[in-house]
Amino acid sequence: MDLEKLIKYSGYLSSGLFILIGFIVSFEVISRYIFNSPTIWVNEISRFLQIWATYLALTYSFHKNDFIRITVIYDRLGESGKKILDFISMLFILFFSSFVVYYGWLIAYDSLKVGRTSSTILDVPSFLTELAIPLCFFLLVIRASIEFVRKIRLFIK
Amino acid sequence: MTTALIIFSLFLILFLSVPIAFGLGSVGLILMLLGDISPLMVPQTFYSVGDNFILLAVPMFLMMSNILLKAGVGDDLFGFAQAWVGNFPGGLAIATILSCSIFAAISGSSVATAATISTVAYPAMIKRGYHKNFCLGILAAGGTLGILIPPSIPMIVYAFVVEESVLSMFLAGIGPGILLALLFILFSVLYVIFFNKEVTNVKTTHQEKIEYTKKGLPILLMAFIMLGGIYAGIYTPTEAGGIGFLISFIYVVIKKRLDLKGFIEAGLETMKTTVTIFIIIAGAKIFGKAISLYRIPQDLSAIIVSNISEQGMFILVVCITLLILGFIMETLSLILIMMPIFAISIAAMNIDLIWFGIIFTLMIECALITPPVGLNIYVLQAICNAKMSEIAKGVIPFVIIMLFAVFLVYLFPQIALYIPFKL
Repeated sequence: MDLEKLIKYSGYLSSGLFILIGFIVSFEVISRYIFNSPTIWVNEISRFLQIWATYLALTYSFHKNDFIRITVIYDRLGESGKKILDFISMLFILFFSSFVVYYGWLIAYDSLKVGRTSSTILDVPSFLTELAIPLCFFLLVIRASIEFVRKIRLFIK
Repeated sequence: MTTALIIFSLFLILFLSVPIAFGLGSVGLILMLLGDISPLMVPQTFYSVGDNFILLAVPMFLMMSNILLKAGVGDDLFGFAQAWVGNFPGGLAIATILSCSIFAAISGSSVATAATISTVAYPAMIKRGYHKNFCLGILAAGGTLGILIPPSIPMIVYAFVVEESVLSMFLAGIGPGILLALLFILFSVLYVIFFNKEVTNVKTTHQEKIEYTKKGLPILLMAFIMLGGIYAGIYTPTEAGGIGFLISFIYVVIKKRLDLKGFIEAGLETMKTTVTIFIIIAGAKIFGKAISLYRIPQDLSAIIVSNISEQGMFILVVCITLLILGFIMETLSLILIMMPIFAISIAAMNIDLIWFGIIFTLMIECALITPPVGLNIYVLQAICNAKMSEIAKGVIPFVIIMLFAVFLVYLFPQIALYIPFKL
């Protein structure tokens, strides 16, 4: 599948999820005060959706170059200096994200094996939320690797 | 020695422009690997940041201000304020601060506040003969009220990091917020009377006053519903964000102020800001955990406590550090990098965390408008087509006023603490 498209749609999905969370959370308040019946699912479901929404947006923000960086030095460098710093950044992102993918997967897989669920009334399988971390960081690793190779090619030129 | 080395390598990595979240996270991760501590905590931290109902307030408030920003409520607010105070000396400057303050009460972000108000206020002020530098300064500074007057995203993050109540932080921001707005107004009036006499005032008829009030009132009402509900304990800050999102959504739909495209843009904007903030929070938590395993905050605290005996001296040192770092770093990273390092010292010095949080917020407001790195500066560069040097000149008096406000809050903690704890 086309990676660019996948990233774009994951971004749109994430933004849709945040809008959905907004409606859910306000529904809780209305249901509690106007209909006098507090829900048991809003708090948990909104957190569940927030995890997915947040990390689905991860690769999209990387793609759009939105990560916050301190660019005081970067902005004052020439073309080749910027290339070197970009290269270093990419190394850090890849190094860190790979660890998150590996250990994140260990956690999620463990929950799947023992059938762990959230300790609430809803009994949501923990695997379903924990999977968000390794999966979304994996997407970032792929996207960042492509960028990394591109940077090396530029560098050799 | 280790302490200095670790902090030095962190700053080195960050200044090499590695994304802050990944710089913090990597240093934390490396420390864990070197210390033979299981890195399972790293993905767990990302999980727990996402799995958090308090932090959910961040995307909720962002969504609300993005919707209102895209719907162009800046026009209504500024028109409303101008209709009532436009005739006073420095009337448009007063209207600018007033509309910034009202928008700040529905928005948790200084960037959204500066962007919303400056699109309308800047051309209006320039047309009436206000000096360009002054206009840029007042808009940059007025925008920072966005994070002092509740709701406030940096306050949510601060409260999360130091494990204090978001509600108390919000309430503590009201007093200093009003104080700072009044100081800005006072300065602007004096500036216009003494240095900028050539400005013309705006006279509005009775009819226009009614017209503009009709437009401005719904926004005042929104602020009232949200803050009033939090204050009365009807809903939590996060739920207030949800309600704020809902009423701003209903408002723009009824008024036909936003099409589907604008709505999608608001959603995308929200999600991008949320993920960039959340991963920095997670990175900082990982870093914080790792350095505390090496006892760095404890060692640092021991050094600080043995050298500085007074609270005042400690706060002065922190403020100077923040002022200097504020030139080159942006706001949230300042909170998230500094708090894990300082937390233990603050406890050891017996400093009230809410009070300290307000002082911290005021200091990061300075960071927002001190060049070369300051988000409000970038906003104004884009919207007002201004040079950084012009903005830099304009903000000088306002930074001095903010530091004065810090001094006042230090001398009279009740300015911040009266509303949350005595009222």
